[in-house]
Amino acid sequence: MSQVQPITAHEPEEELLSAQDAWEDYLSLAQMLAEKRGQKVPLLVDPSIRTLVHDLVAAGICQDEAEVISRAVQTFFVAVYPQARDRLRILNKARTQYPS
Amino acid sequence: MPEKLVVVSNTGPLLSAFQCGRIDLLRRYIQIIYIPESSVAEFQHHGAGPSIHELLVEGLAVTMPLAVKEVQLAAQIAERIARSSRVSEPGHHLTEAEAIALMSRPALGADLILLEERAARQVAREMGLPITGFIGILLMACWDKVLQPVEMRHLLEMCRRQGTRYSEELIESVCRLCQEVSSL
Repeated sequence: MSQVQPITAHEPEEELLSAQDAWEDYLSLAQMLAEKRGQKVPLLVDPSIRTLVHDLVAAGICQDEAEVISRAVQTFFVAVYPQARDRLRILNKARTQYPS
Repeated sequence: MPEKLVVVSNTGPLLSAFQCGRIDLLRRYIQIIYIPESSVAEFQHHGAGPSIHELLVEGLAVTMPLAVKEVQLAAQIAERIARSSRVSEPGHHLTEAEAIALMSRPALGADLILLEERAARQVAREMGLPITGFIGILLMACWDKVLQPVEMRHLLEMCRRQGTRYSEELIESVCRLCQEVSSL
């Protein structure tokens, strides 16, 4: 934590944020960080898992590999972390409101 | 957490972080903060010269001069901001406008712009730019459970005591949001 310094007011005449603005700021930040993290998730799985992923798509259960991974991770997340349902709801809301 | 953002910032969000001494939260989520070169003078004007100098030396903040076309764009943006602001003098909005012009430079690869002032945010939104602010960063820290609601209140009150326009109602609402996201 850096040292606190006396710093004068900025834009004292201007109207700053509302709670809604703050929430939207949080959602857009969450969405952008999720996008960044998503760019760095390689599909480094063994061939048998790749085959299962392919089979789920081929059987029409999921539309594509991304959907297989997304549903698998969400299911696992909810299974090991019960509050995950609410976290997912908020992240999905951010994704639809602030598409990158 | 290796995945961090590249942002452009106006002075306001950084001044709030300086006021409450939580630059560490910016470092947690941000890799580079681009600031318009001219805004350094504004940091100095607000007594934050040493703080911004520290960030520049560290490399977290990087100053960017504007190209001639961007200066012209910034002047137009300042006029747009002035039209929807309580302060109708475009010159008053030039630093926010320069940050928005900088954010519009594709080569910068910035993910978000940090803005606090409502009129400037409205113009940035109309231009399709993704926006966040210092409180958004605080809420993200709540989500990640590195900031507790009681700390959130303390930080926002520190900023307010130094003149940042965070109303009691806003602080109350944001602390409730912090509590909600912390409990998820």
